[in-house]
Amino acid sequence: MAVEPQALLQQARGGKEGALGALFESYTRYLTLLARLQIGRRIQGKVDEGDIVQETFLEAHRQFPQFRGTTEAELISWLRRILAGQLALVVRRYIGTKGRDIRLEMDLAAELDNSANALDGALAASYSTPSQHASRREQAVLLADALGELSEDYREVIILRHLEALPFAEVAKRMNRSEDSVQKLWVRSLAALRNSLGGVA
Amino acid sequence: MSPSNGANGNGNHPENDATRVPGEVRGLLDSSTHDEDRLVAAVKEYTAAVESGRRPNRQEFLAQYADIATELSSCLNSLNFVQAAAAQLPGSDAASQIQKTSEELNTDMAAKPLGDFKLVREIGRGGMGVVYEAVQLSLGRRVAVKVLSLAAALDSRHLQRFKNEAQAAAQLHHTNIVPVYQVGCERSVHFYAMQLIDGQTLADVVRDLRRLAGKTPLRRDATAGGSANGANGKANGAKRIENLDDLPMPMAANNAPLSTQVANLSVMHSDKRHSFFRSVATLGLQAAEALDYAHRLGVVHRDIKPANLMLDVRGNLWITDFGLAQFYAADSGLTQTGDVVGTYRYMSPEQASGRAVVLDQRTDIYSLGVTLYELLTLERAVPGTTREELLNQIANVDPQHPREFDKAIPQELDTILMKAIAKEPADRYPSASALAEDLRRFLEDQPILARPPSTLDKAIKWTKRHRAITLSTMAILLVIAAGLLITTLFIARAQSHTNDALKREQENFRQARQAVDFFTNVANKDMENQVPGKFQSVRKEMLEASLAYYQSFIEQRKGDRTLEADLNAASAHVASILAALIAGEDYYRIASGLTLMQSRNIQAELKLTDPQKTKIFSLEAATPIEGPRLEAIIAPLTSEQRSEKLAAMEAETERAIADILSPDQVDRLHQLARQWRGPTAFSDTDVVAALALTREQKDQIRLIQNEQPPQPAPPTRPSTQTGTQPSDADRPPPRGPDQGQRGGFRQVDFRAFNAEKVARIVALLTPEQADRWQELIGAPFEGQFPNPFQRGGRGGGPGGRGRGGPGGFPGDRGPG
Repeated sequence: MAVEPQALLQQARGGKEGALGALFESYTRYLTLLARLQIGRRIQGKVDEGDIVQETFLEAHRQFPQFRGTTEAELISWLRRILAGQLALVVRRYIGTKGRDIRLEMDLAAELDNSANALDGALAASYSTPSQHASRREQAVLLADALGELSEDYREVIILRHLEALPFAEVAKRMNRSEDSVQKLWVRSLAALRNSLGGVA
Repeated sequence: MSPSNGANGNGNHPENDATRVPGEVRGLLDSSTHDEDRLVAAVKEYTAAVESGRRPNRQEFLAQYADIATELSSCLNSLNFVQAAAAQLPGSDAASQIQKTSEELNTDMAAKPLGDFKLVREIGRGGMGVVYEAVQLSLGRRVAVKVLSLAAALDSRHLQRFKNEAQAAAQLHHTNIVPVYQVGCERSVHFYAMQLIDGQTLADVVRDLRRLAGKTPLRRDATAGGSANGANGKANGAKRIENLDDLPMPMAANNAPLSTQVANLSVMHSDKRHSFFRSVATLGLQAAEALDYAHRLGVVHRDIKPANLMLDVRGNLWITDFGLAQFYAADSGLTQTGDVVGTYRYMSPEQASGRAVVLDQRTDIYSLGVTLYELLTLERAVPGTTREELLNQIANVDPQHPREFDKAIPQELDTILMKAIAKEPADRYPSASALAEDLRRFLEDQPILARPPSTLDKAIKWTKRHRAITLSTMAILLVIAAGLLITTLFIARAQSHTNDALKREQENFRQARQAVDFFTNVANKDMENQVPGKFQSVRKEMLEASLAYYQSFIEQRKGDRTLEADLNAASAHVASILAALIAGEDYYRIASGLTLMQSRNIQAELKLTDPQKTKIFSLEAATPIEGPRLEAIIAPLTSEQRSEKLAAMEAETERAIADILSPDQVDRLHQLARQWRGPTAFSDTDVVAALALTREQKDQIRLIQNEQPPQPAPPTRPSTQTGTQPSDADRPPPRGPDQGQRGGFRQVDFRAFNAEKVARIVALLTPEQADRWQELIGAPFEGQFPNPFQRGGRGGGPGGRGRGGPGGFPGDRGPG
């Protein structure tokens, strides 16, 4: 990331052209990953996370004047809430409920927070010095970005194994592979992830 | 589909992996498979150690695998980075952060005037925001201002809806509705100003009365705990709210230890019981009249509860927060607070289930009933402290009768409240004015119109709730009941035409008629908001049987003009419902082909081109295939209109599909759909016609279709065995080899179960019919059929319709 998100946020506040777009842009993979973690369980193969994330950005763009946070953490949780709303819309569309479904939205927001926690938690274990602690949110974004650098199979195995916390047998089933091949894939993926994390890990 | 997919495509076989491995890593992988196996073993060992709570010394661990230490080290780094430890993350919860921001904002708020309003002090706090006593500067009058929490104001869609609703509510002028003066937005804070009521909420009243009656406070909801006191820590001079789930918005300017109104009520409660009951009825009457007024203007409250009903010092009742209920949902961050949990307590079943397409006035009638119930009995109508308990209670448990708490409660009042809080909207008062009318009759000592439910009502209710068990036996009962009728009629005929015999015959007829009406009713009731669903074939049979019996009644009663007309009407009614039912099935059969075509495997089998896929996708999205979207269309229609509408929709959908697909593709789609639907396909009107099934065959098929899978069962073939096991084992089941349910552990193997059913049904057919069936399903589809989408517990998809279908999403659920 060329410019710090905090700085970008300031610039966007100040009305600098393109700053808001660039700011949102940097969370594309993070939000896509979160959306995927949610959608995967609900509407398999029917919607494109990319579209939902685009809608989320559009909505966030509209609502940005009302956003009052100053830290990246606040920004991320705000984006997440908007994402939950968009997800609810999509889920509702496929479940076919036109009317308002209070439980659906509450459940979605709670689940999304859980997904985000899993993502954050994935980073919490090994990074607990104070300065790193402060930027943990940002690292969740970094993980999402690093995963985005991987090939699909590599990304998939990490997501299923670590973020969806499935046993290997289940990962194998989902990926239509043998357990043995999934485990090899996993190890390769970890090695590759090390590369795309660059200096971080 | 971005990062998620690709896992199911081709080219994912292990041998292809090497081509994707980054250069640096490839070196190690090329060395030998043996090294790679060791690497897998090492990383797994390390993971297992970490998961069991030990964190091995890294250097020592690496030393054990000196030959692959470099690679292992880089894997472990990544692993550490990724390893899930979700629980260790404090304060990451988005809700709490937004909540915090709004706290700060609200504190800030009190300092400066908000538009025309100078906030004086906080008098209440709840899910949607904070209520202040304020002064309207231009008019110098005291008002109450409710400031919406920032979290609630975040989403612009919700915001727009809020504005619309609040403005609609602001148009309400009724002596029992708190007037809204202004809805506004200042400094990006949304608020509305309303009349300040000098009084307290019914939640407070109930609490005080309980205290006076020497009862312990009603338990607050479990989740209410921390946030309550934490959030209210700053509350000033305002009365403390002890019962968070009832956290009111008391626009109360009242700090007296015991308000006059409670004092008055309490005297009545202890000494003049009858007056107390009448007071409750009077309050209920005021609320019902106010609701009726609002309903007539098209405004449904949706959140009637003790905390939203205020009692002023003169004993008048005021309803507050009109039209704001749906706004709660915007504030998803409140999931965990007691406010929302408490709100569940007063939600109507249709509201709590989240399935109602449109919430109508009857949701308010229910919630008002529950509120009055609590005021009357000082007990919970819906006990429970957690969301799950409450939802279960609301859906499945009938509240105790108020008289079970207190015999002094008049029967009429008991009957009125029980009718108001009936689980089925159709069993409640149809309008708030009807409820008001009965309360007025009670107050004027006239007979009320509501009746305690008869045995028949109870039977219907019971069967509705236990439909799964009973519907299949219902048809048999119907046959028995009607058989009884015929017999008794013959006996009556055989006896001489004495008055006695005539009378008996008439009584017999009345009973038999009642029985048939009852079964018809059960079959019909489902049609109210029914789309093709479970037990459709049974229902169809029942209606067909009813129709036959009505015909025989008509035959029996020839000459009795009034009765004949009545029976003819009943018969025509059943016939039209039957027609609508069949039209619905036909439509669903066509439309569900669209769902099927969303599956990649099916798309491949049909060799759909990309433009075809796109068109099919949009068509599916635009077509109300089942569930609430379809209900919304057909619910308001009469049976006749339904038949027409469904037939029109069927033709339209069929044409739209034919516009996209080639004739060959259409034929194959139908074949695949039949394979997908398995045993249920044998009820399709076209299949029935093509096979020319006999009555006897239909009966046998229905029995097989309705067999329940053994539960819980390991994924082996169920052993529900009858004498009709297929004799010719040569005939293959019309499906590809079972590939096991995707990801389903502990799930019933529906695929095998259904395949077995189909095989048994095919065994019932004549050779000609069996051949015809083979033509109808074509070549067995070798790929995997999609799992029917789990539609909000509606038992949606075909195949195992109504019985869960062949697996939902992996891990989502299971019979256990």
